Amino acid sequence: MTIKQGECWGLLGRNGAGKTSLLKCLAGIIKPREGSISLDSVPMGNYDRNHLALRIGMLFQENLSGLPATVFETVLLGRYPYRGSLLKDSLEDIQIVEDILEEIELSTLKDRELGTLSGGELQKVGIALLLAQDPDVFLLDEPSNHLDIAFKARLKTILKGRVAGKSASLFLATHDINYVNEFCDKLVLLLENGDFILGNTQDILTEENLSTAFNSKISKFSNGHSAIFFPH
Amino acid sequence: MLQQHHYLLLSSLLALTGVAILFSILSGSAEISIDQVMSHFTSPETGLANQILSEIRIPRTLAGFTVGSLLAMSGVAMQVLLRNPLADPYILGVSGGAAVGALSGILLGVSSFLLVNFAFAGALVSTLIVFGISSRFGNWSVIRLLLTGVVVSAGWGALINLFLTTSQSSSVQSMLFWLMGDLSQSRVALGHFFLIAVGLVGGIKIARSLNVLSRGDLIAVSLGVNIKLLRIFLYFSASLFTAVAVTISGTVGFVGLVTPHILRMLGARDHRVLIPASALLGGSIVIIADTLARTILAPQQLPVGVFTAIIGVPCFLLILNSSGRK
Repeated sequence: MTIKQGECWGLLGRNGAGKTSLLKCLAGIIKPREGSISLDSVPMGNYDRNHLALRIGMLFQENLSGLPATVFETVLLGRYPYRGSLLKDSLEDIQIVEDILEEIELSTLKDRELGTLSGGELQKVGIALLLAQDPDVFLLDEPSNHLDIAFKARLKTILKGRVAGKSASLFLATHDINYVNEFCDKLVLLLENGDFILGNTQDILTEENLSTAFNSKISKFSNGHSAIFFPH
Repeated sequence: MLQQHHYLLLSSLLALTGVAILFSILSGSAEISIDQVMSHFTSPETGLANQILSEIRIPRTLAGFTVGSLLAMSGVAMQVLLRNPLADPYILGVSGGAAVGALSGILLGVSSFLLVNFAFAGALVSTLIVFGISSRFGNWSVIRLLLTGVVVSAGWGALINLFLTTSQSSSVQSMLFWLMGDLSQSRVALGHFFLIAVGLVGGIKIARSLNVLSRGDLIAVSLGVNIKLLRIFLYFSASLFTAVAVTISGTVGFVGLVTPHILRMLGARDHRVLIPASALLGGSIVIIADTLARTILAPQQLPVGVFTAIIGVPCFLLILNSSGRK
């Protein structure tokens, strides 16, 4: 399987199917037990960690809050791989973060403590941090978690704009069939016992494939332009 | 981001440190004026005031600053390492090991010069036990480290109680002073200041990585931090700082836990500010606590550890309360 520049891939499967583990392998955080992963035809193991951080960024499901920090301070951490001066943050980095906060609708919360944010707001902080990191490969683990329907749609536009703008690649793991259907051109569908099928989203998302993958009857409702999926 | 209020905070802390040092040098049973302090530095002659300054007050003040600085920096490191705001320098059993080492020394009747080596050896043994057990299978997780440290500390605590209950009453008094922290016999050498300087420079060098690690292991790895190396570095430097502090003064409680918190509540969450600020505030707190400990019931001297908590608790609650209201 190859993810090319400019492509948005989805990874769909049941809870516990191994979506997060696959993303962590792609991010170089864990090593796959079998098979190998290469970035620009160079095996992942040959890159040093800092170089990978400039190329690959990942949105995690883990909570960012812990020791106190503000939204701005947290999003600014996305610029860490660029190794600015030891003591001062560059004005360029600060400007990048300000712009992203504006884009993600977090500007009004920039001085708030992470601990005081709602689940959806924290998710936005994670997304803003990833955008500040500005990698060539975006790995997103359940990006729509806790987000309202309007921002979910906006996030899709923002991320697709990024991918198209800098010929990046995007790989998004979720259990939300409708979100990958709107978002991704290509899709990997995880089935029972480690099998999978992959291809164009339109071809993969059939009632039959989904019902097998989720082990439950799933129906498709289409009005000609778009389709939604729902369980019986 | 280093902002104006960070510089303001650091300069206020520098001023506080100066005031604390002056307060400590000028206070005591013998009246010493500020002129005498000045003339001590310009023309060091022999005289009672000069002797008191150079042999008692100045060394003791410097020892207090050193202990507070080392404990506060170690507290910052432990809180990031364990990603837990309740972590303090003693949480992983360093102080327990040092105490058992020192109490064994007292029981064996060794000189106070050798006692320091006993304490340091105890701290070192404890550090290695905790590290060895928690990293044994290569999966060095925070929970495993914390659990190992807490259990090893409990073991040291039991040994300390055993020593206290079985030894003669004459040595119990000196043991208790040691356990509660005491600066009356403390002396520092140039090496101690060198250690603080190394801590400051090294701490500021890794400060941005600490900012990232504070947000979690996964995000730190994906932003390119070598967390394995960073954690080992944090663990051993925090243990070393604590061990050195404990050997100077015994276990002075509370400073390592609350100093970083007070500063975070005052807006210093970036480790580039938090580390130097902790060194200054920690040092000042111990100097002030020790000055009170030796003057309030003079000529009786009280253990400094009691006063760090007596001052620290209300200060901490006050700041916690006002920062919660914002």
